[in-house]
Amino acid sequence: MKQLFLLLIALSMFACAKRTIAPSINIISREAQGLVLVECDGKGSTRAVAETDAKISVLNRLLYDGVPDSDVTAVRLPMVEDKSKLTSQQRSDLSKLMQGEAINRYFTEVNPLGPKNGSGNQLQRFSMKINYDLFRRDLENKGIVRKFGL
Amino acid sequence: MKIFTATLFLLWASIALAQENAAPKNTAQPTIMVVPFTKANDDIRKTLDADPNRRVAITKVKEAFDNRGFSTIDFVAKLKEAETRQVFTLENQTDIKTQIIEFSGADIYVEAEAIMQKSSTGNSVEVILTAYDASTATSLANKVGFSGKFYTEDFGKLTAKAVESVVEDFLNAIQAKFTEMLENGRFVAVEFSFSADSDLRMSTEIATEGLPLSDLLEVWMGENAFKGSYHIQGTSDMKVIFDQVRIPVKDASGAAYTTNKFALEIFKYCRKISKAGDVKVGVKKEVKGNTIFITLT
Repeated sequence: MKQLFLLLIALSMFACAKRTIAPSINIISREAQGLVLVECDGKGSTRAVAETDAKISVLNRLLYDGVPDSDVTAVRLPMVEDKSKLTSQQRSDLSKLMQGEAINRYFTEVNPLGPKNGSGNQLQRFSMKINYDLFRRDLENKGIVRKFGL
Repeated sequence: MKIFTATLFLLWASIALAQENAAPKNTAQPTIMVVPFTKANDDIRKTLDADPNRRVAITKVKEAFDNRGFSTIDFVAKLKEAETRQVFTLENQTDIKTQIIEFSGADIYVEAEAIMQKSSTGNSVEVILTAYDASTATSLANKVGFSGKFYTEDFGKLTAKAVESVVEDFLNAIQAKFTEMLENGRFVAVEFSFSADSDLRMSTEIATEGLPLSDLLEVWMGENAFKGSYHIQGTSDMKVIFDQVRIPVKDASGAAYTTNKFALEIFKYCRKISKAGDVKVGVKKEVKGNTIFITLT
């Protein structure tokens, strides 16, 4: 009985242990033509790192998964239909679009939602406006996604 | 010096040729026209004049195509051109929309319907957008948009809102169909028939092949349609209609594979068919949009 009790205590401590969860992304609204407001989690030791992580997460979601349950229908389908068919050149070009200052072009407004919780590699939530029209145009110009048509 | 100049020239020529071969050839894009929805007996010209919401719906859809860098055929301009050229015939007064679509040569037409809804809890507009392949009548995309309810009589604004809520999703759905076309081919329709003075019939056995003509044509279609994909709408002794035949978007060299090129392949094949007495079959081909008409003699 005592051993069973200790086992239960150990299991409950394990269940309560901190776990890193995948960043959640919510599309809030369509602000204007080509502009969408989202909320997204980012992970990082500092706010700046967490913000960049959030931006990359959002763009990756729009690129590869889409947001099927969104009321903003423009982002329901992924921009890249098949990630596995991207060539190494396309992946390299894509990586350049999402690095450093280049990625900031696609975000017109970024606001942290609440203070950063604790220290270390923690999740923080941001609201951000994404110019997905500009993102799509850059992807088309680099040949990462096909322009509308055949 | 002469040898050096000649070598330099040859080097330049080979680089230029390699660049030309390496440059991707432009794919011929389908032409798209946005048209208003009309009921069977409606005169589309009067309907469009009388209902500004339909004009708003068409304009907002065209705007969405423009935002994606894709130009569409202007329906109103085509309508005026058709009237100027007296395209509409008396017999077909009730089907003017079909005549305009044929006259425009559009490969795809998008039908936009705006439905006004009035209620005590607010007014709203619902739009239905449908894209069709003009030749095969295949539906490419369908979406319904809703403006939401507002206490306003400005149905034009509600129409615009309803279109905006759904049009990008609609374009993405069409784009997904284009991707499918690139992978699996695009549709054309092929109709085989006989001239009035022909003694051939679809049941005529072609001695050299040992098959009836209709079967011969079907075998050829299976071998030459892209990935062997075709569909027969119907067969009679006078006619065979393949309403959906897949052909590649590009040929082996990367150039656009037009309907006319496929029609030429059919033409060349039919010319080789021999009737009784080793007489070659006479062949006429006509291409209207993405429909091929082959008349055999």
